[in-house]
Amino acid sequence: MRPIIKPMATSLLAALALGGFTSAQAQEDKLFIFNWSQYMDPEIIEAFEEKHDVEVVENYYNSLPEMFSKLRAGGKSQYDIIVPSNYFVPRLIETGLVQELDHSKLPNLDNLYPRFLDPSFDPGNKYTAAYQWGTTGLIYNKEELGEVDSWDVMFDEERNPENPFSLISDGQVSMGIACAYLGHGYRCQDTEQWKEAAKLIINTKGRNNFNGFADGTPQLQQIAQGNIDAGMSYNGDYLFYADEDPEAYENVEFTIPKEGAEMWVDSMMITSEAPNPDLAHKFINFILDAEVGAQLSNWTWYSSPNEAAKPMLDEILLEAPATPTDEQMERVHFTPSLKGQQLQTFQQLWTDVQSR
Amino acid sequence: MSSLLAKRKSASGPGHWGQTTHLLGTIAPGILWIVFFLVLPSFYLMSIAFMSNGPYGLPELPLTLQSFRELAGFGFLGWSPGNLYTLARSVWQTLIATVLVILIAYPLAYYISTQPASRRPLMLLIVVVPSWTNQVIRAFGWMNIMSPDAPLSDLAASAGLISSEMGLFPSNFAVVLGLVYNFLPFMVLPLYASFERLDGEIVQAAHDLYARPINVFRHSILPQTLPGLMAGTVLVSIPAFGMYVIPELLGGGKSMMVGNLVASQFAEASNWPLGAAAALIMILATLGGLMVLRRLGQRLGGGKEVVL
Repeated sequence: MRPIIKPMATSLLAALALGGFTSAQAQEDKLFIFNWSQYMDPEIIEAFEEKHDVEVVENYYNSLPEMFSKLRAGGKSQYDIIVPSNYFVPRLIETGLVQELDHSKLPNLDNLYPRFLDPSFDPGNKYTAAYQWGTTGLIYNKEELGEVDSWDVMFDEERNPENPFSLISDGQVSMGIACAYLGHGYRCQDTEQWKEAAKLIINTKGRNNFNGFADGTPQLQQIAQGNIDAGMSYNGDYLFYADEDPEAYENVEFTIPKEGAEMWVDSMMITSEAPNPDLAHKFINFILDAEVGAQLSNWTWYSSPNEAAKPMLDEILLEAPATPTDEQMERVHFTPSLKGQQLQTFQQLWTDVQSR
Repeated sequence: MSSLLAKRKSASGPGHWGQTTHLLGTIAPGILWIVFFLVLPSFYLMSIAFMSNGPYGLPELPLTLQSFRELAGFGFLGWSPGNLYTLARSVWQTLIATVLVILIAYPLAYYISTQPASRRPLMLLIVVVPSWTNQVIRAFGWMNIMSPDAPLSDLAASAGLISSEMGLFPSNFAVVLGLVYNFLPFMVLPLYASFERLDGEIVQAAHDLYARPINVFRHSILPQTLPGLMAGTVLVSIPAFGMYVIPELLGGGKSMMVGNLVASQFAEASNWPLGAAAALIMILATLGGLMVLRRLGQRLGGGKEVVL
């Protein structure tokens, strides 16, 4: 979950690159991975290439809808592995863009923590194997705002009349925290509650210190530059940036507000017409290896779903915010997977929120 | 087709046949290009606009006008003016940006045309050079310039225009500024071409006939620069109306334009028919705008050379 920027230029380039690949992709010794950008340790790729004497081609997306549209536009036969977040899994399955995993080829699946086996969005792990997990919390500048433990720095004009803040551009997450703030819980799915949340966000948009919607990673850059004093971002990215430039992030804190926030799992899946499903299984099994799993998390700064990897993880990944405390765990929730009429209702509300 | 050509051939002799093939050879690549990359995709887009939205955003049968109703605000949750705001905002911001561009570019182009011939290419180059850098990078540049603690924001804050904690972006102001900055060269160049061809004797004649300065401008300068002005207006206002990058980056979701609405319906909102309908309305609005400009050109005394 590390989107950088999503201008047209990148999509265009990707489209061009895609066109170039179509002819070469049938080759046996190539594996095509479609993943979030900056989400894979290059050394892991090298090790896999060496072990199986193959070539791994990586392509990147910055948002789940972007990935979804590309798969629908023919990508389901151009990539082998994708790494979507939990709430996109059901719609990938229902639209026939992914195929079932062959568990006999994934002995390392047992390395995962029990709670990542048989997840609610994919009972029995028929289609997914967990890759990394994390939370989308509140980032704030403690020098400007003092201690913060509530989303009221976004939604209460009296709590924060002046300091600029951003909401996240992922509609379901922004609406989720608005719902949570209103007391309906992060996972609210009732149309009336949604409407109330939409109204809250529209009012918030009208306030002078609302700094707009942005993706999680750019918000981390903006808060370091002082453009915003509060925002929403991912725990692993927060740690990554704070480690890169400790001075700029000296006053920036990451927290899970008392009303609740998002927890997500990104999982590996194999596309329905993958050119090389056999190699894709080998790769998934490779990532699920204890040592490789630890190496991956130590590189991404995100928590590992791999129980066997735990002894080899960096110390910092085992404490908050990388791994939420037990008390915080009660407050974080999966974003609900919407479908059918419910999805349409949500999209219409969110389009209205954006276009006002 | 071949029988038609054969008839032509027998009717008008071998000389014409040669001409016909020559003509076909010349225009065929252009026509094929337009048919395959403009006409067919446009029809495809139009047909999507009249389809129903499937459960995950893919267009489905039956044909319906639902997308246009939604665009007008009639969703299944009751009427809401969001999309109309976006359309109105696009028209309004395009209008302001175009007027500002004209106000800046007109004197600038005149000034350049009065300079010694040896210096003009360099000055034009300076106008154009910024557009050699990618639009996205320049937008990020403006984000830095307009961030909270930058001099420009401090100035605005001390004048009481914004709160001292805030930057100048994201805002409608930032979007208009971005549009003006981005499209200025597209107005300066055609205007400069007009000024360069300006017949000074006509202006002189107006002076000799004791025309007041305003009338000299109105009757002798403006009509002569009208072709450049009209061409510039088209080059500025049409891309500005469909602009995606600048409202996305400098508007921060507070200042959505119709280009962003289209993009969002094809991407995160997953409603291709609504996106296609918005794109269709965009095309129609552009055509309407061109017709208004044409009228305006004629009203201002432009002759045949005001080609629109």
